[in-house]
Amino acid sequence: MNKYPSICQNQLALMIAGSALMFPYSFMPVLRTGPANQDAWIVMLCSIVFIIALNAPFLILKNKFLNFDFVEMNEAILGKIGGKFVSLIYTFFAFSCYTACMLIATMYTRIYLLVETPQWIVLLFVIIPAMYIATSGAGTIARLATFIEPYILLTIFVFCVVGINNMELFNILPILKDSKPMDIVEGAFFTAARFSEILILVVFSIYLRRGHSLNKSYFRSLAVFGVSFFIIVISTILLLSSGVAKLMHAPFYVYSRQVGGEDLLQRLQVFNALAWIMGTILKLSIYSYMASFFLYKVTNFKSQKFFVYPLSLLAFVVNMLPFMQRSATLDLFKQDTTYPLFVLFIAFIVPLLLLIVYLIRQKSIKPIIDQRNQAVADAEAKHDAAVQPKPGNAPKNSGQNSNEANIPQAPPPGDSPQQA
Amino acid sequence: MNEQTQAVAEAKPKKIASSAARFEKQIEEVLGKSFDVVIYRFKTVLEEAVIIYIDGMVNKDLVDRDIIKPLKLQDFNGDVNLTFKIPFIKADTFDKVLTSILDGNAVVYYNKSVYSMDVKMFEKRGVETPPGEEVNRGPKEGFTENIGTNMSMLRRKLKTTNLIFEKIVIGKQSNTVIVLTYLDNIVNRDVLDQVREKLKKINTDAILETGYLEQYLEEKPFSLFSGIGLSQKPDVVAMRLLNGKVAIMCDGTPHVLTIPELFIETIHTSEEYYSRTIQANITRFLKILALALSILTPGVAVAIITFHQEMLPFTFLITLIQATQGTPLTEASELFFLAIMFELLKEAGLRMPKIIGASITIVGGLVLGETAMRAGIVGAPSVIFVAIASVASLAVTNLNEFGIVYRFIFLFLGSIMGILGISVGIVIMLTQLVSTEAFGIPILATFNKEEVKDSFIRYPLKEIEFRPSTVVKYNLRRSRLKNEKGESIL
Amino acid sequence: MIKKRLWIVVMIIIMLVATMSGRWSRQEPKNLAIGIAYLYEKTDEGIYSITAEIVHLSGTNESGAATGGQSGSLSIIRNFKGPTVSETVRDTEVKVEKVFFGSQNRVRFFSEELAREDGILDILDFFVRDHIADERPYLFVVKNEKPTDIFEADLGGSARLGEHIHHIASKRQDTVLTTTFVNTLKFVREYYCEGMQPVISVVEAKETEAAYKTPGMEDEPKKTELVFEGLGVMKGAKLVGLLSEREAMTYTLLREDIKGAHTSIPVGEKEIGVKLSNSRPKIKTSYENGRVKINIDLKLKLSVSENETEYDVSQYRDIKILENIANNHFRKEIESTIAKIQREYKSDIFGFGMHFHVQQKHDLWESIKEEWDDKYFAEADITVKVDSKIVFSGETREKFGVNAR
Repeated sequence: MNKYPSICQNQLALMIAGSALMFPYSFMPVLRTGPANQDAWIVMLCSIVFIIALNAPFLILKNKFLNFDFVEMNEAILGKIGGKFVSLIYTFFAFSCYTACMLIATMYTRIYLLVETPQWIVLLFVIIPAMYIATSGAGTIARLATFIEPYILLTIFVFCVVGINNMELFNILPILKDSKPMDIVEGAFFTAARFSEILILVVFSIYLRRGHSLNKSYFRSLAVFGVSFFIIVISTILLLSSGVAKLMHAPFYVYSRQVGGEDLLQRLQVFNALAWIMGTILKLSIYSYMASFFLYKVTNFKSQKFFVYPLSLLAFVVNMLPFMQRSATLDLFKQDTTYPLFVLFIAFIVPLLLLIVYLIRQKSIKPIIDQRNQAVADAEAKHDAAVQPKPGNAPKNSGQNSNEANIPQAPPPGDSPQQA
Repeated sequence: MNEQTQAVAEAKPKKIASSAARFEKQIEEVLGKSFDVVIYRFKTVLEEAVIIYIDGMVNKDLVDRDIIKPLKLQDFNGDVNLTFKIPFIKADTFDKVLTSILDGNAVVYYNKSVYSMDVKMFEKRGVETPPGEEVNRGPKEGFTENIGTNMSMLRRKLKTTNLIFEKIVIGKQSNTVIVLTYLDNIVNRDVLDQVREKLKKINTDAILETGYLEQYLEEKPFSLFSGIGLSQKPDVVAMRLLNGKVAIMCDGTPHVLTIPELFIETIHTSEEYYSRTIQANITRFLKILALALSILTPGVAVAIITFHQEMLPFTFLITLIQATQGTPLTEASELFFLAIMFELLKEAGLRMPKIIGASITIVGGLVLGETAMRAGIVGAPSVIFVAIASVASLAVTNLNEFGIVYRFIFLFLGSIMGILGISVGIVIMLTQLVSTEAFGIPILATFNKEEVKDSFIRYPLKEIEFRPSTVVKYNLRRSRLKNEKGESIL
Repeated sequence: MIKKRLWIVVMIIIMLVATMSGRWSRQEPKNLAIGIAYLYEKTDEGIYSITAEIVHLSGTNESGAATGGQSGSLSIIRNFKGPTVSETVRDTEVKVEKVFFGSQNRVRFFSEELAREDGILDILDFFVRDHIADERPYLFVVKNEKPTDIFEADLGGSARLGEHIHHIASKRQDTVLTTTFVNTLKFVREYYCEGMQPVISVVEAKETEAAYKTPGMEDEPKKTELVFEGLGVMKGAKLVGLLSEREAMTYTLLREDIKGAHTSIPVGEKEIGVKLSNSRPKIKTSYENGRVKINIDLKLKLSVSENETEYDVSQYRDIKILENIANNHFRKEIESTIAKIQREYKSDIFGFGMHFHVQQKHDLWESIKEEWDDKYFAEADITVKVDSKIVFSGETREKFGVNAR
């Protein structure tokens, strides 16, 4: 237990919500899916329901395998070879998310912030911190998320409040009239299909502290994500109107340029840029950690830190391909036919199949689970005993075996200290 | 040279001589070269006695009155237990005799036994307020160089049987007394064991100050945080002991180490605990603001001015252009140059004697800055940014080096990559802080529900019922001021 | 350990070399030429001619650093030409020694000719795409025959045209009835809204009779001053008509939030000066037999600021009479203006189409939205009801001087 990093459920919730928020913070694909009009906020609300439905297999599966990490879970269900094969699929998935996210980050930086800077230097500046964080381990990532994610949430909230003056309520009317129900369902489905962060929950839940539950983290993260996503979408639509917002590459950044009066708060977009870059770097490091973690567990070679370097180098090379330096490629990610389907396959269909296999082979897998649970319970009991104070060192009347306060009593009146 | 002295040391005879004269010769062989060692052989009514002490380290009145005079009395009956008026210890081996003498005790040889008596008296500094840790509210006394005084000051703060002082002697030439202090029922045993082991393994010439210990104990010499805290005030050290930390005192220095030191404690002062809630929170907020300003201001300024002029308000942009119109340097170089100048001024002000120091700082700050602007070398906005950063850094003196290093890093990053550089810098700084571990304890761990009551803000003292769980592993409850329903009983 | 330190050193060297070698996006502010007002025209050959007002700051820095501020700064006017807007940027690179910087732009002027014939769509596309220029500048149509005359207008103390207009437009938005100030965001938003046509502000440099003399400049020839009155009616991105100041009042009453604008209501031959505040009108739409019916219900709050009539504005009886007069006055104004727009311009700048879209069935709107402006709006039956209340009457009760002797 000493060597394992330990994460709180709130930290895990923040990690998940923060990573998922990076999509709306950047290019808000929800504005372009489904009906693609002012009802995007309704699409967003419905997508929460779909997210829960699409993540259900993974959630149920991981709840059965609480003390297994991800690769071990696959190996337990499918056997060694099958497990390694499935884990390699997930490695590829994490790596592609890593590369895609990096592409988005560098593209947006080059479109909005640093226009003439070549791609490779922006890539370097984004990869190196992500590498540094990924090699520092899961505990660091979680603690970092405790600082960065609240800042991001704060900027979202502040921008919403400051922009209220310029908002026009008419921009979200008419509600539901222009959209067919099938369009809304389709939009919600594809928006939910982009939520690949369930993988984060599954991978990092092994590090959760005792007494902190997986399900609580998940639902708290959904709550945070849902509220923030809603605030982002509704503010952007109310201020910019969905027609204009759809036109932009980064609607929320354009929104943040408009807010603030002339007197006190001007030009707040610098906070937006800061929050966005920090959130993206954290997301990159999480995916990099996951990819290297899978590779390490599959090959059992050296350590997790070792695999971060070649993966980052490969991502750098892929991002420098000419095909990846054009902003048209960015549009590929925004469409509904590429990225969401890919994530859907990995985050829904494969876990569903795994769940089915588990249910079929339940009887033979149960002893493995029970054995592991027992081992973990024994280790915890041993740790509890070791942490208790050693009885020999304590003076007799300190009362330290209880958890009560050791508040010194006032000395009885006759016992005054000796004069010097 | 080292081998010679070691050979001489190892060639010391281990047994104490059987007659006074031979004992005197033994001592003279080892210590006779220094003229401050007084070796005096005298006759008593029965046998000869030898007294040895180091002049300047003993109370000569006591020696004369309570040791020599009783021995020289006519009715001395050879029973030292009734003769010596001072408590004494018998020294069995020659090594212990030498250690005793060097410690400042008086050693008497009589009848094949050697008795060592504590008659230490030497010049020492009185108890003063330590500079750099001055407070408006709270005790003003600080530790001194004498470890006895220090231990007694700490004892007077924590009058409990749980306060343990463990003595370790380190240093081959200095034989410095190091005292390991902790509260037995609260301390983190892991940290304690690690520290004790490491201390016992130190094999070196001398420990002149706790700084040596700090540098030997730390795990990463090149990181900005060693995880080891420093203080000169007994109430601060007592507070830290109550939070489960281990304190190390060293004879000869008033600086006491506390292990481990969390990042949040570099921002805390003891005064915040003695003030009421609102004052304490205002002070903390100002400190954190000062830290952020001192690190970020030059970097963010140069990033926005050089790369993202569209984020500047119009009137400020015009003023900036006018101010920098005739200056030869770029904004980044101006800020860099001015930041170095301010740091040099601060250093110079620190080392100078007080009277000259004050005027130089004022001269330097005002006149040089003003003249540089008039000469057209730097522009006014740059001076202001660097001045804000420097003044803010004086509010958090514990983090001086941290501030300087990161200020220049942010300046560099901001000038090459704009806001991207600043964000990357913030992420890297946070990662470094968060991943640093001192003796197995992360220095910037997340704050659970109880710890957050005393972190960046401070809840009312009645609400803080538990010790910080990052360090203390058992016996977490500090006070019981609430009944079962959660209401305060006071 | 050594290997790790070697890696760190190598990486630092790479970063240093990489970042120090190129200039890329780095820009010193003293090398910027800040343009704060642009005028777009098209010459007879069909080439864009852009006249820009660039901030000019004094060269030396003697006392500039100590006092700061903007004393002694002027602006210079430059003209650039090019077949498209982005080609004029190329022209700036050879004519202006500093780097052109458009982010602090305050106002974009269009010549009336350009706005009527070509529309401003292409120019807007350039600016919406550019990453530096944002959506803050105000859009104006210049009524003058020679549009560059606005740069010579007397600004009465402000140094630069762009700043002058920006100050007026941003601070006076709530209190001006005779015109409205349209910034790019508002324009783009209204352009993208179905059932709504955008408007554009109008400016003209008029010769002034007794011009206020700035001290020290008594012998200057007659000056022109900028007059902001009226509105330009757009259809899509093309200007189709101009409204006078009285007609523009209809637009501001129906579309803007006015708080305390000064106007006067004729009562017989005298007038009552009031300060007016409105709230957004309730608009009800209905559709019968191929015709659209629109009911507008406008509520106004008036405070009497000057009373020339014999009515006693503190008595309920008189107030009722005055309110009726006000209601009729405003109703007539609004109805006649809307009728004129329906007849001559056929452009729904009031957003009735938007309300129709919200209130009626989706399929109905889809079927008529293509012809909304030309057919359905132009032939709509519009009824207006104004309900004004005189809320305050200032510090006094009856008219000054009535009961004095």
